[in-house]
Amino acid sequence: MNLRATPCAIGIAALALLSMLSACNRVQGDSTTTAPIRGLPSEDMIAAVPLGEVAGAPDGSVAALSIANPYGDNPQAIQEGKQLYIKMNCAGCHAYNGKGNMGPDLTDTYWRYGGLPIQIYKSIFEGRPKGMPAWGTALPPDDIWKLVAYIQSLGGSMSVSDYEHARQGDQPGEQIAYALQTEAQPESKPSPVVSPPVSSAQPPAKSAIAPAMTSEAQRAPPTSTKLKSPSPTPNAGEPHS
Amino acid sequence: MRYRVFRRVVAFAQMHVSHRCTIALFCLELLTAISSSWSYAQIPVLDNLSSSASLTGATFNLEPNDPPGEWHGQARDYANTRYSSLNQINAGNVSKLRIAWTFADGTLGGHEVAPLVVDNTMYVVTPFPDVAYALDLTKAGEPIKWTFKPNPSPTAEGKACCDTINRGLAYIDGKLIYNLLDDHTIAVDAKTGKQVWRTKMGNVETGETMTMAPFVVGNKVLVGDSGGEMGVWGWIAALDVASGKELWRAHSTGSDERVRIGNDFKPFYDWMKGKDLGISTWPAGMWKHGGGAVWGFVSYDPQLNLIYYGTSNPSPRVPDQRPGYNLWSSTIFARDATTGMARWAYQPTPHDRWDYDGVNEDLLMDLPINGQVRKVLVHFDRNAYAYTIDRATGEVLVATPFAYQNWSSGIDMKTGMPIVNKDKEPHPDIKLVDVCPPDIGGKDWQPSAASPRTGLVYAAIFNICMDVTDHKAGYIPGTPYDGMDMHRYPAPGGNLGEFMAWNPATGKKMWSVKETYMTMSGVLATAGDVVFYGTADGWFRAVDARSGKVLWSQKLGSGVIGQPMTYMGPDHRQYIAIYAGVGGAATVRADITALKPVNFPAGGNALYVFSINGDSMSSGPGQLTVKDGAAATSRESSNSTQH
Repeated sequence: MNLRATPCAIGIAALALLSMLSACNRVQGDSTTTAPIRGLPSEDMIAAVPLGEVAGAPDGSVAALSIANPYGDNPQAIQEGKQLYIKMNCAGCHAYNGKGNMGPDLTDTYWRYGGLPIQIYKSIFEGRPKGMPAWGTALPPDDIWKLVAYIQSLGGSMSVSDYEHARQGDQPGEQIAYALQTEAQPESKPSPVVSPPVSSAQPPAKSAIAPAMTSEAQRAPPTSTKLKSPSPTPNAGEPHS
Repeated sequence: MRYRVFRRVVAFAQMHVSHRCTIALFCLELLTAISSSWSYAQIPVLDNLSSSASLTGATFNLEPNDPPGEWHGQARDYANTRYSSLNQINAGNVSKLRIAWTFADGTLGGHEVAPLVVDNTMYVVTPFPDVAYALDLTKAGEPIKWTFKPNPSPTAEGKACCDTINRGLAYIDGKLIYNLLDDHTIAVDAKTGKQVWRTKMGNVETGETMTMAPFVVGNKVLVGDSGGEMGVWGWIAALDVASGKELWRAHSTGSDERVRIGNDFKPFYDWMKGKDLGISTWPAGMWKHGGGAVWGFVSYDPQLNLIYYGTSNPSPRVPDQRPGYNLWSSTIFARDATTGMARWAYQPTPHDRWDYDGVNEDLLMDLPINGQVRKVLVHFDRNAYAYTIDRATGEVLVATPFAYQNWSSGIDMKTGMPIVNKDKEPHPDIKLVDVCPPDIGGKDWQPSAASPRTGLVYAAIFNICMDVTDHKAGYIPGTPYDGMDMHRYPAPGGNLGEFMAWNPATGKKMWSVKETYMTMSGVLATAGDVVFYGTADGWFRAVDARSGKVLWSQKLGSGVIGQPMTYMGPDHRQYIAIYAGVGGAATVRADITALKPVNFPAGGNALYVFSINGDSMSSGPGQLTVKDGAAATSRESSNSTQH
């Protein structure tokens, strides 16, 4: 049974309605309307985010983790994210309170694939082994970011400013003995032209972001410890939708 | 002392008056209670009235009559009695039970299996990744003979609704047959641990998994699927034991052809008669994802050549999305064991609104009811009613509640239909409070046992309620087609668990033991007049089969949701075996935090094996059998690696 396309919303500006209707066509189910407070990060930026902590990766790769949710903590985006969370059956696995059942608890601070906004985005977009579907084929990026906003509102995720803690599995507020200074640019507006995300892992090509790669993602060995030249992903474009 | 006994008796009397016990019975209880060292919720009157006679006159066909010291299938016999004729361990000496040996398998899913014992070898299978082990019982330390790793797909871990469990192996003709979570049925050579065949039965990407224990009838092995929360199209199938080839498959919804309903199909009640009810009792097309998974135990009557099993809840779990009876979900089926054609069916909970399912086991016996011996099956449904059903016709003979419930006011014995309390029907987006039992029922999958010596059935049951809010669900392949948002908590009394003896002829509870935590373990009954069960907080207990007195308990390293079994070792000692490894539906945290103090174990994976005094060839002095020369060598090598 397909999700029915119900009237998207009422009482919003005609312009918003138009843009929203186009979203309705792309997505099964209700669309969401709230506009981001900053531009969506490009696919290159997202592709530069490594899956977990890759052995031998230079510290520079953490810069890619600092991408903030373009919706911030916009309450309307969170509300729309919550509706999507129920409508897309997320609640069936992660429970209506987010505390997990078939799927992991989203309100604690343990994240198998990282608890930063961009990491949660990637887990939803790409899917993950052990049953997490790849939603990049069913939802546009702005809806996925709204889901991320809702999950962030549940309190278990890591704040962008804590990405160094998150990378090491530390809790925010815990002491970190060595200096972090330079690379941290929390909440930095992700400029469209990315300063090279220095990653040891090859930025996944477009096809690699597609759902098919998910079960392989864990097994892929770190390709090289050598710094890659920051070439943008060749096939960068719209994610599958 | 007298006063305390008196207070207990009064409390007991109040409890039982509320259960509508007769005054006469109460007086007997009063007398015996005062004259014995009797404790809460036990009825010593049974001891005094009859020390060896069957209390119901029930008789059991114990085919296939496997060797008394062995255990070849999860239910031990076709009738699903889980009864062993061994009596070395008995009510008189069970208090001396001690741990003889243990085995840990390293996995953390819920451990719901009973080990098998064949030819002095023990066989176990773990939760995902479904690894099988053979342990040599003839050698000290029960060493591993072989390990078989089937490598199921990790995707299955995220598709199983209720933990990555496995309900066990079946042994037949030198093969161990079991199901993998990723929808394969496999046969492994019991001697060598090598795979004999592997048959793909479904597609795990769609949310279908397999958890049930295969059941062998003749040269066929019966298996079914799981995924009532995932919108699967449920089925049971028969495979050829020798080759793994599929012989027939019967779906739980859809056309009569798909359900294997033909001219021989004669349900007892009129409302289940008609053409293609597996389609017409659903809104258009919804039968295709209507659930009706088959993941419980199967039983078999060799005289009638019929198999019995139940189907799961309808999908989605939001009833307002699927008006109609939703046949043949939440249904008990009788099928011809050879052809798979349905003979009769009975749906205990039509249009199942609470996920009461129908998968619980059907225990077969011949039972005098009102002076006439009837061939019956006894079925403790999740809906909290115990049904005694004529297994030749599907007629309900007895139906009374065995656990606390408020969703209905009884069963109409003319139609077999429950009388539903309208104010306990959930509707979308409305929070409905105090619905009892909850989705996991008055009893879940955990199988009961019966003893021919007492004629009683023994079961671990629940005492739980829920608040529930339905949310409309859409079908998205591979995700839950569910919509049920609930919070579970103890029903009146405050205990979550209970272990009981049941009279299936009268539909009455004979005695029970209340447990603070959930009781989701299988039950073992033995000729020693002891019955065994475990609790989710890790207690394993032996109970007098007649009086209900707890004779022995041992706290284990994790919660017990396994199925206890017994075997005779090569040393001619009787052993009792049970897995400790909580998981499955027994780990809902919301339930547990309702209890103070919270004392709930983590997962585990240890098999515990007990004997009288813990005697075995695997413990005590003289166990180091390494020869002098070998010991010296190993000391040298350990020295050489210490830098």
